[in-house]
Amino acid sequence: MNPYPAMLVPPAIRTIDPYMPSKPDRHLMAAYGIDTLYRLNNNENPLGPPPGAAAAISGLRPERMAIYPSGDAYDLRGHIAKFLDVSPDQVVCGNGANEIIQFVISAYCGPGDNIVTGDKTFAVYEWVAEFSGVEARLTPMKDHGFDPDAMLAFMDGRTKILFVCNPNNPTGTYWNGQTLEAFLRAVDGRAMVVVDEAYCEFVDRPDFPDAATLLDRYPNLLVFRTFSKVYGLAGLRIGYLVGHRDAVYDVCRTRIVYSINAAAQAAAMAALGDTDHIHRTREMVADAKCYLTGALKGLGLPVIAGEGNYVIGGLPFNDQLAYRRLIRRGYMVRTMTSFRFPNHIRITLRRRPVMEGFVAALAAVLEKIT
Amino acid sequence: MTLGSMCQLKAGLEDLPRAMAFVETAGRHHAMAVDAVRKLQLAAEEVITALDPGTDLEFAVAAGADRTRLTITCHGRGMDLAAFNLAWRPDPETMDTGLGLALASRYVDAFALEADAGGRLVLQFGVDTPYDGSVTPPPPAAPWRFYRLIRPTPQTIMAAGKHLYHRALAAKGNPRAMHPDRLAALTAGDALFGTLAEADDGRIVGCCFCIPRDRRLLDGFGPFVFTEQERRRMARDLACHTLERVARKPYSGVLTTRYDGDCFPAEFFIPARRPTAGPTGGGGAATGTTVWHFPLADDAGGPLHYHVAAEPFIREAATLQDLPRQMIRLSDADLAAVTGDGASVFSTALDRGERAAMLHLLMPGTDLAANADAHLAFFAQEEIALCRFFLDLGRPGDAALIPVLVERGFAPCLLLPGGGRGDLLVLERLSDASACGVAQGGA
Ligand SMILES: Cc1ncc(COP(=O)(O)O)c(C=O)c1O
Repeated sequence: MNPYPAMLVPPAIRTIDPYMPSKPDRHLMAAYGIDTLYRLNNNENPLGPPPGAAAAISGLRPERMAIYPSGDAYDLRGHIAKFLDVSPDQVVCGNGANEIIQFVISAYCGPGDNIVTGDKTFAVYEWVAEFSGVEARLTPMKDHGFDPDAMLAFMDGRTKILFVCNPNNPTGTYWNGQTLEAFLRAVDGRAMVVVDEAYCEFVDRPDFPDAATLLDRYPNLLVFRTFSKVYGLAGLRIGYLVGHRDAVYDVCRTRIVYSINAAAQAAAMAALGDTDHIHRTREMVADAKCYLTGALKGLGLPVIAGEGNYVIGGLPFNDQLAYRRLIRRGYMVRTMTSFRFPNHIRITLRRRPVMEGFVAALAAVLEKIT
Repeated sequence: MTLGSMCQLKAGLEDLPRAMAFVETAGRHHAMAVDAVRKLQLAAEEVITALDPGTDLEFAVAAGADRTRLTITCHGRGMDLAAFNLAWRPDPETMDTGLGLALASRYVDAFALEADAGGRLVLQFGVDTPYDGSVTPPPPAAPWRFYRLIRPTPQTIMAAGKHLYHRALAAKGNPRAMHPDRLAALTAGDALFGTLAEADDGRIVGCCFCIPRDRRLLDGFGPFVFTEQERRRMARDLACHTLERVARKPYSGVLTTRYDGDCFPAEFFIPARRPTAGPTGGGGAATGTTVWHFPLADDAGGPLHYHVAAEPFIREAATLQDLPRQMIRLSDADLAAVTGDGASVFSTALDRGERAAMLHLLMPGTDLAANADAHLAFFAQEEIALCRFFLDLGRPGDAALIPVLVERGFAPCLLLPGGGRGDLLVLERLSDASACGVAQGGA
């Protein structure tokens, strides 16, 4: 028997260190001896799913769980298509937008190909590329935003996909319609352009582009969205992609069918387009953002805040240390060394009283350390 | 490290020819130079003839990126373990010739003594891969339009190595450490990780990387920026990428001693102390030069043993890092209880090229002070510049060494959180800072 199964792992994979998600809340609460834990780490919506989606989830019949769901989320795709005024064969659903990142990279990239993206953005583009044996070309951010010129400068004949997170997680910057279109024109169909709009529903700016409206003109454009953020369905894992019909056909070559469960399909159907829910969430986020950015600045901390339901705060000490101290006071934040922002934390925006409690806890931590 | 060859032998003259033949064959297999093989043979001979005849020994030769190592493993039962101290000398009264590890270690570039998980003693003799080929100077700095951040490959790190090698030469440091071939070999062996800045014309214009120094500690190098443009921005990007890269690795922290001072992003790091040179330098005082620490391990809590001799430093570090600790102070009366009644054994990793010795306590004993003195005398004789002692404060026996070391000019430099294992207290002593390439400043 081979005593070293690890030798079977390809050398390139052996250099990758696994990502370890945090422990379930109840373990953390026991470890840190706390009764309440506010999750400010994952950009979840504290208002939960829209009422229609909540009803759809409670209405699920256990006996139906013995039956496979639609393998390609047939009804949901139709619903999304109608909502976006596209055809159902322009939509692919996935087990979270994360899974769709994998479909797209698998569909377009082979050994020796590369993707281009920013260096301080959602890390899954880079990770999936790397463990797929595809080079991830990372260009530094400019004023915390994607630098289109740098991205174009590093494109070459093997560049297959350019990933733009709009608005960007974690910095909240966005490209306006003009920048996005100029970029698409410059790419000129030489590579696919993915615009990840996971947080688009939070943006209330007249110049924020709806990339899906550009699909007719740019067949190399793919737009990602998710039900995890504003729609409060992160636990069900569902996201989708829209693109040109031919591009979607290609993505379907490497998609995993039956990966979206029945509960997610039902809840997403009911959630999509609930403008009241989006409006309530936006109001809550706007109020919390205004309060928190002011409070952080008041504490003398640098703030990186833009669109989206999160804000970054800079600290005069290590972010892991801040995590430990804050969690002991009941607030779990995202440490940002892993986003290449050492000594920074990202805070998900929640209702005002939670934010006030958080600021008080942070002030106490700062006082103790500095 | 590639899997090397191995063989079972017994100590004593009888197996000596087999041992010599084994080292020779293995050396040839790893394409070692004849004189390098000879060095390992001399060290092997010293060990095999000094141990009690019949003692089971396991020989292995393995080639790493940086050096080729001969490992000799033995169970150590019934032996006078004190003889495994590098500074051990035969007792003139008994005229016991004993194990001449000091002598054996002189034949080679690196020596290390460790205990393995099964409690067996592992002696390692290393011969450095030469890396003495001439290095062409890097191209002169030219303006760039854009840069991107890449992970080093054996090819790309060579370009950074050219810059660092010539800087080390100019600074009269240790150029071998930065030889492009060495950095490439370390990268290929997954023993160097970090980030390079690559300009849009393909030139490497900056770097920052880490090399494992100990099982728990990474040596940090950089950021180094090789152009005049936007040095601070690039240095920040390089540091951010490198810290992200190492944050998921199973190390407790990074200690950065060499970097570009004008653009170093100190705001990301915790200043660590480094003692000033000389046998009485440091002593726990906050004097000395600054080196930088970045903690990596999360922590679930545990006991931390300490002695009053380093109390302010340990308390400050534990408070600053908010370590949930059960602090146990050892009184002088406790010291006797935790040191046992035998002779102590220090595990030493000696690197002659770097002029550095890294020590752990392998076995506590009543003679800690005498053993420390003997080691320091030996290091002085061998012109070792930096002496670093790692104490595992999860173990009371280790904490008993604190007063001994502090009295001898060691200064606490870092407290590395254990992340479930014991916390490591790193104490350093510099004998001759000005002459050594390990001290700090440019590469
Ligand atoms: C920018 C961005 N894209 C995609 C995702 C993944 O979303 P999902 O939960 O649908 O997998 C996230 C989640 O954090 C995100 O921030």
